[in-house]
Amino acid sequence: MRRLLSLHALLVYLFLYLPILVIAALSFNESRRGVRFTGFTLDWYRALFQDPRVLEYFLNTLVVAFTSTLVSTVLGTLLALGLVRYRFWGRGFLTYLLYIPVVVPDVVMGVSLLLLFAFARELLGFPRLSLLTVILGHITFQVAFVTLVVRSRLLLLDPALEEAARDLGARGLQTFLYVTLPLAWPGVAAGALLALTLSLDDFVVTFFTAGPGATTLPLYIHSSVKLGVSPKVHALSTLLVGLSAFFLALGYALSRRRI
Amino acid sequence: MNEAATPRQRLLRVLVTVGPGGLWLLLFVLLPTLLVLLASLMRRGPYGELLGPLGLHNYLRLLEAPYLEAFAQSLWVGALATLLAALLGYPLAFYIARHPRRDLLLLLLLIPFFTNFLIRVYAWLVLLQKEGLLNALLLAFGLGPYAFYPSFAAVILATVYTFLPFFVLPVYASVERVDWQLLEAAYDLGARPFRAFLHAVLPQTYPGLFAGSVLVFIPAMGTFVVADLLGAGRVVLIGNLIQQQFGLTRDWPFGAALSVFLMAFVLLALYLYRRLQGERGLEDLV
Amino acid sequence: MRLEGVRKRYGEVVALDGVDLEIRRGEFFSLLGPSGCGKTTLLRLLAGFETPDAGRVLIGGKDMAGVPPYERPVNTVFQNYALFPHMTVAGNIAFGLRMKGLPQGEIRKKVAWALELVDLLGLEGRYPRELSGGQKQRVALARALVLEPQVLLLDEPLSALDLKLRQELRVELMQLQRRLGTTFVFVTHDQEEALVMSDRIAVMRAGRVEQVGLPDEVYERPKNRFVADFLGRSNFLPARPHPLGAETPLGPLRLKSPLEREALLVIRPEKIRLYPKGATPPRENLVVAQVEEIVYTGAENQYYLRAGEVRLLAYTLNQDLQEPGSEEFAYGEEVICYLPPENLVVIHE
Repeated sequence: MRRLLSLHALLVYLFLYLPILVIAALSFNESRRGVRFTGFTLDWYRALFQDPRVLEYFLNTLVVAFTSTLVSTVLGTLLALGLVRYRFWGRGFLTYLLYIPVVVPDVVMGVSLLLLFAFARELLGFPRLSLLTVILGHITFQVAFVTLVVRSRLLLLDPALEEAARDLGARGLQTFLYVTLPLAWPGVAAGALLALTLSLDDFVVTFFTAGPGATTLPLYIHSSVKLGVSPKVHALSTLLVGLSAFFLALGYALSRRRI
Repeated sequence: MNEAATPRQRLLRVLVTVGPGGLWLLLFVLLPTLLVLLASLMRRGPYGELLGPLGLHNYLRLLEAPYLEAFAQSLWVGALATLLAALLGYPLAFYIARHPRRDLLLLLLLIPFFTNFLIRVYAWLVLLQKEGLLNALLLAFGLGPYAFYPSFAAVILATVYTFLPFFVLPVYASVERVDWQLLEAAYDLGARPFRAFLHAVLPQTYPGLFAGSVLVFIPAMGTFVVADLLGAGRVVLIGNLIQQQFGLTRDWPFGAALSVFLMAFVLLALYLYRRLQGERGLEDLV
Repeated sequence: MRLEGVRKRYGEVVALDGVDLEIRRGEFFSLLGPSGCGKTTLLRLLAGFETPDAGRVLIGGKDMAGVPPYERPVNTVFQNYALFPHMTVAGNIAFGLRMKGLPQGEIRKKVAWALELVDLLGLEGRYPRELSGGQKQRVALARALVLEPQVLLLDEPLSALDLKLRQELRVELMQLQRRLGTTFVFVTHDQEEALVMSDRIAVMRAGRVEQVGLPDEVYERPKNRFVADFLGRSNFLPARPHPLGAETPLGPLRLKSPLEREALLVIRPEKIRLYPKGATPPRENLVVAQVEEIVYTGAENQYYLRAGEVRLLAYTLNQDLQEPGSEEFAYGEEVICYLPPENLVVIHE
């Protein structure tokens, strides 16, 4: 039985990595099309780095990701704090509202944001679709995730600790800075990391909210694929996979260390 | 908090914490949803703009054959993808959970998961195309080449591939919490391995199974990228329809109606899920 | 401190049902009662973590309505210590001082003073997770006491410790309180603790205060069956008026003053004196009983006796003296019980 399970697991892992490995292999392939390996080359990588547009898209992706992560982490952490610590009118409703960006398919999110911006343009004259609208869109779904992650971490926190702080003379802000935040920090960090990943990876919401000049890497990959896959994209993909693998491995190594 | 504080202080505290985030959600989640609802009741003007008068015409249109077909196909894709993901992912979850080096295995599972999903989808395109790897292999045996894509099968394959980790992770979490003593008790009482597993272990993994299924089913039926790239017109799902309305066709009101329909369906599914699994289930999902 | 007509409920559950209490300056005051009696709620009201639905909470004569915990002259030692895991022992103790904005030098001095007070010098740099239960307890104490509050609230601080440690810390807490002169309000469900440590005890049940008084008052002269039963063990005898004193299932008994109406008589096991058959005990309030069960607890013998339909519990001390009142009895043996009138307490429910 165990043997069977192991075999199954092996096959599944192969299944998971096969496409990625093929892409990686092809990125070094001399020939433009086809699978036959005609020779090893770094040409495609060179072409990638020499393409100014790719650099622009890369920067766009980063700008969007970091800005939106920053804003959403702050908003989300505060929101989680409020939801956990206080009881107020509309609390249940707000919690349900939180789940919507998380569970609803991206298309619906993208469409609703598009409509929002369209209506806003009609009534207020702005905003036009641009990098800003992409950031706004990203923040929206990120906030939901961050809030939920931080919230679950906060729920694990012993409320007696905050009470002790207040008992000893700490006011609201002080309690937050000296006790709540340091203890909730792993949750906040996890939430921020999740938000960052989601932003870097996002395609659908970006697709609907991006204007001209606001192309991100996922969008670039998509349009390239539609036009006809070029090995440059293979090179880019391999790099991205390598990057996320690297960071994941780093996170893994770090978490092992900090028993 | 029931803490002794003036009502004004409490109000301030609530506003500072919940205010910004809450406002954002209201503005960027609630309002757009309402706008979608509004738009779904409108009509499309000659230049693609939104016009009144309001009416349910878009929803009536939804009930026409091609759209119902698309919806049915979306459900079918979702269901099939979930089933396949379960078949592949369930044993895998067990394998990982019982393995001594499971964090390494998890890491290996997560790497594809964190890779941009576009890359993962188009990778299959590369594999399945006429000059792709699969055909190359078949040619070596004197078979093919076949046009594996665009096709329904290709869409299913890529969908399963993309969402498989979504299934494995919740099941894995469930399996970790399994009390194996129940299995031993079953053996002790005379059950053979298969039946013992069925009665003692499987039920304990239901929460993970449900969560995983929901996590695969909903995105799978709502996605348009996979069908777009690998179905290329042969496979039209609700997601594709919606995207088309906002793209080429420029029929925003109808697209909005489709969105509302999809969203309603998803929320219904979640409502049922919550009824079955309770509040915890919903949180575990996230 | 004073509580006047305090009520508090959580949804359907009534935690405090009209409590009036006065706690005097400098005393060691215990709130004693079973779980759910409201003692912790009361403590939290004093600390400022909850607000009463009705009634007033006064500290030092001032109404504490709307006054948050960080502005009250009160500090709390929490049941699970609530030590900040991300700060050292010194950091924990210094916290309150930092909040006050005291200069570093003064903080250091006070922290050292507090550490010495609880006998933890040398452990400044440790983190809470590296400490034992007893040590954590002392840090929690030090952290609160360093602020020199007028009142120290302690929420079952010893309940998580094992017996020996508990007994040691009990004495230390008493000495500490006497040394500092701070008012201590101590919550516990352990009646022995309350009796040993307190200047006064309030026995609580289901949100109400059943009786308040000095330990020996509450123990020797309980006001009702609950208090009699909660503190130590008791023998209960339903009684009716009788010319001699009271008519009970054991026959007529003489009391200090005769009953005027129906009541319940209470006599503690250690007050019943046992004599072997054939001895010469006092002439009144005698009952013949049979030994059904003997429990040996080291320092004393517990005899479960039966006199007709009535069951009695009596204790004798294990003294190896050949004196009347310190004999040992065997199973099934018949003994004579003497119920001294001055130890028969009258309770009207």
